[in-house]
Amino acid sequence: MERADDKPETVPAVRWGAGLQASLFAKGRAGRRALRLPPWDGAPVDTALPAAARRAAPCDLPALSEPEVMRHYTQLSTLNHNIERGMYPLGSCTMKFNPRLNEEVAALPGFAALHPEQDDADAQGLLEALARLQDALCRLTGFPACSLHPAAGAHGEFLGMQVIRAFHLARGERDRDQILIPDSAHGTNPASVTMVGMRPATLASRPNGRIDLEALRRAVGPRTAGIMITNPNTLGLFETEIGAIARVVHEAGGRLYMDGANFNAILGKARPADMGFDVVHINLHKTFSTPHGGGGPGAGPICVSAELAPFLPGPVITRREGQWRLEAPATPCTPSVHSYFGNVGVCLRALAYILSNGGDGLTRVAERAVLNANYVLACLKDILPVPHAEGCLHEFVASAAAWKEQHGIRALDLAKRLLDFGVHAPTVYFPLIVDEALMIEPTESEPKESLDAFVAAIRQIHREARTDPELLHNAPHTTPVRRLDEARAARQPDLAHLGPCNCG
Amino acid sequence: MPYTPHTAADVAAMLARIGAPSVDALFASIPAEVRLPGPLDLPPGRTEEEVRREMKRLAAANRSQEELVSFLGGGVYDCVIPAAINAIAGRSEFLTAYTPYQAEVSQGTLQVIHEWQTFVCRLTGLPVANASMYDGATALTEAARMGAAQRRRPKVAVPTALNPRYRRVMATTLAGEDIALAEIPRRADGTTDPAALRALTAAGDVGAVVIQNPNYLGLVEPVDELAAAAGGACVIACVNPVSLSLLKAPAEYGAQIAVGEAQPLGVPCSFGGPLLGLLACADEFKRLLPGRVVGRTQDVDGRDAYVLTLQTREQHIRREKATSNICTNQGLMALRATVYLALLGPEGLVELGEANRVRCEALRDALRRVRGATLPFPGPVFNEFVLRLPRPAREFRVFARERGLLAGIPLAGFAGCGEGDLLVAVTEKRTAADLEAYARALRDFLGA
Amino acid sequence: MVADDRKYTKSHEWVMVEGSVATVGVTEYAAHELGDVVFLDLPEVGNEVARGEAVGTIETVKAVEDLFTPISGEVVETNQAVVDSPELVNNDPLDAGWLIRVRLSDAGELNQLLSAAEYEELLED
Repeated sequence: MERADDKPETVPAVRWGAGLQASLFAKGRAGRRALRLPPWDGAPVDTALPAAARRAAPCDLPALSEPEVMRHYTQLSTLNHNIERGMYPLGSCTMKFNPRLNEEVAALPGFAALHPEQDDADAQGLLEALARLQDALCRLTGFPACSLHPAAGAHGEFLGMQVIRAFHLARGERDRDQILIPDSAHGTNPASVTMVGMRPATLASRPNGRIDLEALRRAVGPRTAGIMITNPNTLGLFETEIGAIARVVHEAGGRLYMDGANFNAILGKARPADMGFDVVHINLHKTFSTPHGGGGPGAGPICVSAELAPFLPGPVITRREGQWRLEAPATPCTPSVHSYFGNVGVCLRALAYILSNGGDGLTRVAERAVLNANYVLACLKDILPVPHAEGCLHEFVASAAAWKEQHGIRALDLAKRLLDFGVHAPTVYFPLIVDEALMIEPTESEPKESLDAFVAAIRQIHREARTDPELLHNAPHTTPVRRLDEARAARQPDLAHLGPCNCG
Repeated sequence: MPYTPHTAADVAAMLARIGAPSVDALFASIPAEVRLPGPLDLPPGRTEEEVRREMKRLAAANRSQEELVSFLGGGVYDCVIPAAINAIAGRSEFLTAYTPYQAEVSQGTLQVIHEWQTFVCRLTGLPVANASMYDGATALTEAARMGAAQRRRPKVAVPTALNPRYRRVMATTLAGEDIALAEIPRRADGTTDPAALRALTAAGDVGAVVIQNPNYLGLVEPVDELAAAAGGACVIACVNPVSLSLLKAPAEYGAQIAVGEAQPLGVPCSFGGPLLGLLACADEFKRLLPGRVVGRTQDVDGRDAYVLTLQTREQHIRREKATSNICTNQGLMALRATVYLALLGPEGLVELGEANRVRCEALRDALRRVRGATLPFPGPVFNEFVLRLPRPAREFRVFARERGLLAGIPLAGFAGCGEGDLLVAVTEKRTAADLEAYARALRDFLGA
Repeated sequence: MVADDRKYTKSHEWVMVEGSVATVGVTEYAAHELGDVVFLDLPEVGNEVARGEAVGTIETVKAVEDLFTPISGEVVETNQAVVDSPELVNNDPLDAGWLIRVRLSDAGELNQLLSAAEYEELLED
């Protein structure tokens, strides 16, 4: 009971959402426990690890109860923007709705509790599921062979480059080591080329944002191993001359790699094989709606032409005598890019998505994505110019250069202010060939109402740029934290919480 | 259509605003010569219940570790998964967010990654860790590149008893970078030979030395002697993080990089993916680290806050000069492991380690008594060991499977192992009755 | 106003010569354009460097720029203070934020650098 002479401590009221980010490592109290493991119910074991093998200092971890752990992570979760909170028009990332059915089926114990070293006979349903996904991806891309091994898009690029390199080496063409990459490409492309021991060479784009066929003719030669093309490209534009591009590269002896990061735009409309490509990687976490998980897991399967199929990694799924099998690598030079068979759980989600949509639904996915992007473009182009608007598909890249010139408002300021409206920012400053770039990809799962709200928010921000530019320079204002000191983070990296735990 | 909200009226209004006559007209930039002439050759869409039924049928056609008693390991283990992990990892806020580019609306994910980095540092004893790698194999491969690059030497020494799957991934990836693998042989007792390593590193061209502890045969390696024989090469420890509850931390024997497969920390086996690669390093390797890294800083109001940092290493800035091409990693799996470690705490972690070790020793002890079976490598183990049979191990695997047991991984052809050798793993999930069933199956198989 | 006690390059480095040793840094203009410098990778003392060669990198939060040496010779000293506190490049680029000292191997190269007046003209364009 409170006594009259007590001075009660003043506890200030806080606004909702504030102060939720206390450190886990300051929360523990010695003696608390959450989880208990099943005790050993057999005869006592008297062996001990030799002292030389034992850890000297026990691992210092916070001691917490289960309610505290649940509250900590639930509180942290509320600090995140996410697809189910609001629009997420992050260009090139395809932040579309992630159906819950897919989570449910991938978690079925018959899939989730399978060990990769079990016999094929124990995994018949899983192997059938993976084979069906491969088959669907082949039908969507027009290729005869598929590998589900790559765990992410960049991983698929790496494997695709490996396959092209191995193909040339098998033909004795060791000197074919140059891969052409347009200047609008994502940074993973040149990085992946370097990792397989080839050399990237940059191709300048034409003023309309597409590949310059004449420049390509001049660039190809006996060292050309291939070309990496994102189609539609990072400006959201289809490479209209892809047929001619493919002929030039093939005549020079090279092979064509399609970065399928934007495959969602052309589902059911055009197939990479028909365009003349030899390899494509597909981001299942973009086109096929598997959740991004705050940065993975994704999956980046590749599909290839018949002549490249022998260079895919093993084991491969086959069917003989009514049984699904995993067949060991055919040759010793077969690449291996993952401990097992890639992100199987992600592949199952993608299969469920493909089954739910069917061929008609997937085509509609592309149609609605392109409709949404073009609608937003049409509603904004008077205040936010799009230098390469003609033929824009599922996304477009606007430029805030005029805002910068007239009002001192950069793409970054616009992006940060959008956060105050409950919308995630677009991708900014990419691709590099557009000044003050804002890359906007609404995706097909946004209803017209949310697109209208997004347009209204940007129009209001445009008014604020004239009337109150400081409001934008200091944005965001309503988020759990405001702009961060990124220079400090990089100058004095504080990458782990290394003080003692449970001292409270 | 299941996941697109547009009504016919919406479509008409939007097309009018765009000024396009039809949706198809929006695709006019795709030339006719490459257009798909007809509809996709795929069946039509199905309802949620139909897809659920179909996927359940496929799941039911498998026999998983849920029905069978598993003694399979080799890098992926049948482990306890606390309910709290699925509850938290299933939240939309974590599940459907992407890489935290906009830090102001991503503090949840960013702080979780910072906690993961912290846990990895505390387990390994090293000061720096990244946001995760695809799996143990790719983490080890990236570590080898870091070591060889930092030491500017072209060879990486790997033990014969290294996980063969990891070795295959290394060979694929490092070939393109002109990094050669040199093999450190094992001794008769199954552990890696420090004297042979010393001879190998004497030439001065070995940039990195890999120590897998426990090794693929389950044996605890002589880590101090091996590290001492590295001769100026970078020492890379490849570990099962659960074993670090009991076993010497990589930093304690002088490893400068630690990698491993963190699947046993709350990630389902899921036929080997998605898994969770961990990567930690000493400060001098910080700028060679692949992938994403989160740092703590402050916002303009002086509040503690987290942000992606050291980004100039990455491909979106350095392009062909980047430390790696990785961008999407295994974020949600890192969240799962982070929640698990928060649930375990210091006592729970040691209890988990002991639960593995005690059960493993109990089974070793029981099988040692079965006439005809031998244990070729008597040294200390954590949760896995080699069983040697007078008949092919594959036959025992089939025999045991008939009784609902997944007996282990046959080792024929690996590191001098024969047809009779089987790798047997025992995790915290196994009971005394499971172990008794294993011993009985072995006795019956051998007619002992 | 551009300081007239030193020479300049078109790529926005400055060079100040004392005896046979030249000190090299980046100009105020470059420091402003770069933004917050967070890390520097400078050459090792004793390295021979050739005019126009990339000898190190300057990193900001979201960019990496090569550091080119405007003169040839042997690196005799690098500025540890800027390695420890990269913000010196932003706060005091012309003095405490210097980067490397090079013993000139060809004093004639100095004639090819810009004078303060020429550099000022360049900035005005």
